[in-house]
Amino acid sequence: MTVDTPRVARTLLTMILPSTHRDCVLGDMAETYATNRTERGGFVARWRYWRELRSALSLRLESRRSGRSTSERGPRRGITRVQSMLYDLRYSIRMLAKNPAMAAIAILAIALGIGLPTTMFSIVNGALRDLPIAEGHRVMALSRVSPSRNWTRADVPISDFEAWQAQQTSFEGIAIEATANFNLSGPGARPERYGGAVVSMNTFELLRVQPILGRSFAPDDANPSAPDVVILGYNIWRNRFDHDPDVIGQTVNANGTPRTIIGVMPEGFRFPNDHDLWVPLRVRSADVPRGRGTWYRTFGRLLPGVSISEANAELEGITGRLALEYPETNHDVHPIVEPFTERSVGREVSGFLYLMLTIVSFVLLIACANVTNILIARATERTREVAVRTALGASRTRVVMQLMTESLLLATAGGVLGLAIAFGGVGIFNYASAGMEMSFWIDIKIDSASLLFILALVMVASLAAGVAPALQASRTNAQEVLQDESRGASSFRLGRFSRFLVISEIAFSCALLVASGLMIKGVLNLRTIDFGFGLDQIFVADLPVTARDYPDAGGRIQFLEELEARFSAIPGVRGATLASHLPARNGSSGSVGLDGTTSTQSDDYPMTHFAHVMPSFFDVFRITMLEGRGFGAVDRIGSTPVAVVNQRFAERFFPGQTALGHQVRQGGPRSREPWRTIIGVVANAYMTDVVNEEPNPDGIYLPLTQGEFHFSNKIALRTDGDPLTYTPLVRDVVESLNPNLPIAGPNTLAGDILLDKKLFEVFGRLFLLFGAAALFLASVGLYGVMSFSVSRRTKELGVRVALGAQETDVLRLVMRQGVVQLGVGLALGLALAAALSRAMSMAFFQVDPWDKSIFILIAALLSATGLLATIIPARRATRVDPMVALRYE
Amino acid sequence: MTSKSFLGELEQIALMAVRRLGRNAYGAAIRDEIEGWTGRSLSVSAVYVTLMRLEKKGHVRSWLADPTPVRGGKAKRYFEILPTGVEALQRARATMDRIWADLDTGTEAEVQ
Repeated sequence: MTVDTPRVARTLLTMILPSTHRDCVLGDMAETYATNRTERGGFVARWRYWRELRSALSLRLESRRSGRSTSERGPRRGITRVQSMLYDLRYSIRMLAKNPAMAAIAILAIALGIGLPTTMFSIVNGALRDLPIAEGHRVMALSRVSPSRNWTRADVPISDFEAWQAQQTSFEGIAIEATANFNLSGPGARPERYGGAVVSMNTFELLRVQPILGRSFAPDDANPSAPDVVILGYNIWRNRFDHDPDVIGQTVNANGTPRTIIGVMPEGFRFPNDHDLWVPLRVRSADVPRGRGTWYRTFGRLLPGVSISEANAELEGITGRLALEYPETNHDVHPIVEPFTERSVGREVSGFLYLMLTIVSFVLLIACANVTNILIARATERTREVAVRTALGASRTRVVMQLMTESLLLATAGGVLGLAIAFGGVGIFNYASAGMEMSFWIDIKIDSASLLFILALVMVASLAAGVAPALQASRTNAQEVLQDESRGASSFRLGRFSRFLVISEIAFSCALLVASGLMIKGVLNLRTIDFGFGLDQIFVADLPVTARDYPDAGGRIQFLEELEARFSAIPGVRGATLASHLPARNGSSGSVGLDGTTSTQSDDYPMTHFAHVMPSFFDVFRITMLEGRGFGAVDRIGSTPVAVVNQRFAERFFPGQTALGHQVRQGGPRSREPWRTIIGVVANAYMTDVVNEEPNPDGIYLPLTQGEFHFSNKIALRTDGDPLTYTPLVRDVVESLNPNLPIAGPNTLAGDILLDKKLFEVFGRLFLLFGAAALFLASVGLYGVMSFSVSRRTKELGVRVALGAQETDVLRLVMRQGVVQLGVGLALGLALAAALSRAMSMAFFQVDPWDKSIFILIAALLSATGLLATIIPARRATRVDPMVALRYE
Repeated sequence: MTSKSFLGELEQIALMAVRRLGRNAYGAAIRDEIEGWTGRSLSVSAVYVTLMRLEKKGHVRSWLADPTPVRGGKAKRYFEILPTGVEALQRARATMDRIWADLDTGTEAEVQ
C-alpha cells in the first residue's frame, strides 16, 4: 500500500517530528490518512493530516522533555558556541533592521541613559581623582574635628602637629603647609602676584616629586638664619623666566624679601591646589605658645598596608593624650584622616557631586525601563517565533541568549553613541567652566575610568533591559501559543510589569525634572539680580599692598590718593576708586558695637558687614545716597571718625528713625577701634558675593583715609569702551608709583561676578539637558506602552464597539489606564523630588528647595506630555472598525 | 501515592487500548481504538504524546518492528502494557468505583 500523503505537510512533519519517532509516526499517519480517505473522503483526510502538525510540535516538546531526543539540544551538533553566537548576532541585526524605528528609539534611549551619567561620572571622577603623583591615593589630609567647638574640619597648630609627627607610626611622614599670596618682582620683569605656599621641608619628598631643575628643600632651609630661598612652579619659570636653564641661583623679590631660586618644579604640579611657588616654613612649637599662632593644613603619606581607619585610630590615641595634658586647648578634639583631594574639594561638595551622579543615573534607569518595555512589546509580538524555535529544539538557554544578544546589541550601539554624548558633555562642561580656578589635579576628561564606567553601564543596560523580556518569552508554552496565538500571547502577563516600569519612569523623570527646574530657577535668579549699582564697563583688579610696602598709615593713604588721581587722569576713565571689598565680589563680616554699648558679652554685639572705601567709591558705583553725605576730603586721620551705613543696616538697627548721628564701632567687647558717627545712608549694594547665603546684607562703609588698614585693596575704574583694554595702562600707573607692586586678576566686574555664578550656570545647564532627556524618555515610554496595549486590545475594543460602545466610552476606557499610571507616577515622583531637592539645596541659588511653582510646573508639564502620549493611541482605538478588529489576528 | 501514579483520562483510555489490542498495539491501531470507543477524533501525534508519557512513567514499553513495504516502508512502533500499567489501571478503576459508590449512596440518601 503506497500512500501519497500531502507533500508539504509531510515535509514539515518530517522536520518537526523527533528523530526517535519520526518513521513510526509518519507510517501511522499515512495509514490513518489512507483509512480516512477511504471512509471520509480526501478533504477530511487532508485536513486531518495537516492537523497533525500541531500535535507533532507537542510530540517534539514531549520527546525533549522525556530526554529521548538529544540531537537538537543546545548548539546544534557540529556548531560551536562561537558560531552560534555569531548566528545570534546576525539574526539580531536582521531583526533590528526589520524595525529600524524601534531600534533607533531604543538606541537613542540607551545612548542618553549612558552618555549623560558618564558625563557626570567624568566630572565627579575628574574632580575627586587622586593626586597625580606616585601613589597619590595614599596621600591623606589630617584635620581636627570638635563637636563642642563646632569644628567640622579644623587645621592643626604647630604644637599638635609636632606631637603627631613625633609619635605616629602609620605614615611615612607628615608635613604642613599654609598658602599665601606673593608679589614677585625683579629681575627685569614686571611685578606679578602669584599664589604660593609655605611648606615643611619634607613636603616634596613625601609627595615624591622632584624638581626638574635645582634641588628640593633641605632640613637646613628651615633654619631661621639660613638664606631665604624659593622653589618656583613651572608656570613662573615659563612666563617670567622664559624657560631659562640658568634660573637657579638668581634672586627674586617675594613680598619684598629677596629670595634665591633653588629649584623649579615640573609642569602641572601646583600643590596644594593651584599654587606656583614654595618657600620654607620656619616655625617651631617652642617659639609659639600653645593655643596661639597659625593653624596649618596637614598631610601625610600612609605607609603601605595601613588603612585610613588604622591611621585615624593611632592619631586619636595621640590626640587623646594631648587632651588630658592640655584640656584648655585640646579638650574634645579628635583627628580625622581622609584622602587629600576629598578633603580639599570638601565633604559638602564631594557629597553633592555624588548626589548629582546618583540623580543623573536616573536617566539610565528611565532609559532601561523604556527599552525593557520596547523589548517586552516586541517579545510579545514574537511569541509565535519563539514558540516555533522552541518546538524546533531550541533550548531555553538558547532562546534567552538570542533575545539577550539583541539587547546587548542595542546597548552596545547605545553605548557607542553614549560615548559620543559623553565626549560632547565633557567638552561643553570644560568650555563652560573655563576660567574657573581649579585645583591642579582636576582634569575632567573621558579617561579609562569613564570607559570602564560606560562598559559597566552597557552591561547593566543590556541585562536590565533584556533579561525580563527574554525570560518571559522563553517561558512561553509553545504548545499553547501554536494552538491559539492570542491565548498564548496573553499568557505573557506582561501588563502589570510594563505598567510598573512606566510608573517608575514617570516618577524618576519627575524627580529629575524638579531638580533641574530648581537649579534653572536659581540660574535665572542669578541672571536677574538687581545689584543696586551700575555694573557696566567697570574694570576691576587686585592691588596687593602689604604692610611692608607702606608701614605707616599716612604714607599708605598718600599712595592710595595719588594712585586714584593718576587713574582718573587716564583718558577714557570716568571715575576711579579703591576699596577693601568691591560690591557683589566679596565681603567681610564681623561684630559691631552700637551707640556706646559697654557689654562684655560677645553675644551683645550683632554681626554685620564691613568695607573700607575711598570717598569716590559711591560715585564710581553710582550707589544712591539716601540720607546725609558720603566721605570727603575732611574725613582724615585725626578728624571725627565717621561711617556710612546701607539702608538695610539703618532699617535693622534704627527702625522708624534716622540712622544719622548714631554711633557704631567695628569689633566686639575688646575692640580697640574708635566709635564712629554715622554721616550717611546709602542704597543696598551687595556687600558680599552674589552666591553668598545672605546675598545683599546690611553693612557699614568705613573711610580708607581714616585709619590703620593694612590689607590689599581692589581697584575699580568706570571706563569708556572695553574695560579690559585699560589693563596695561593701570599696570603702568601702579608701576610708576611703586615698581615692586603688581596688579592681579584684571577683569570686568560683570565678568568677575560671572565666575562666581559659573558653577551654578554650568550645572544648571547640564541639568536642563538631563531633565529634557528624562522628559523625552518618559513620554516615549508612556506612548510606547499605551500604543502597544491598544494594539493588543484591538479585538476587545472591536467587540465593544460592535456591541454598541460609543467613541467616548472607548476613549475613557483606554485613557483610564494611562491616567492612572500617570497619576501614581507623578505622586511618587513628587515625593521623591521633595526628598531629593532638600539634599541638593546647595545647588539652588536663592530658591526654596520646596518651591511650589516649580513642583506645580513640572507636574503640569509631565501631565500634559503624559496625556498627549496617552491620547494619541486612545484616539486610534476609537477608530477601530469592529469588522477588522474581529478578524484581527 | 505520587502524581506519577495518577492517570489522566486519555492515559487510561490509551492504556486500555494497548491492553485490548495486545500484540497488535501500534500507533494507528491505538488511535482507531480510542476513536472507536470515545468518538473523539485524535491525531496520531497526540496519541504518541500520551504513549510517550506512559512509557516515561513505566506503564508501557515500546519497540520498533522491522520496516515493511506497506506504509511506505515505515516501521511500526509496537506498545505493550507492563504490570505497573495494569496496576495503575486497576487502581484508577478502584478509585473511580469508590467515588461512584460514595456518590450513589449520597444520591440514594437524598432521594429517601
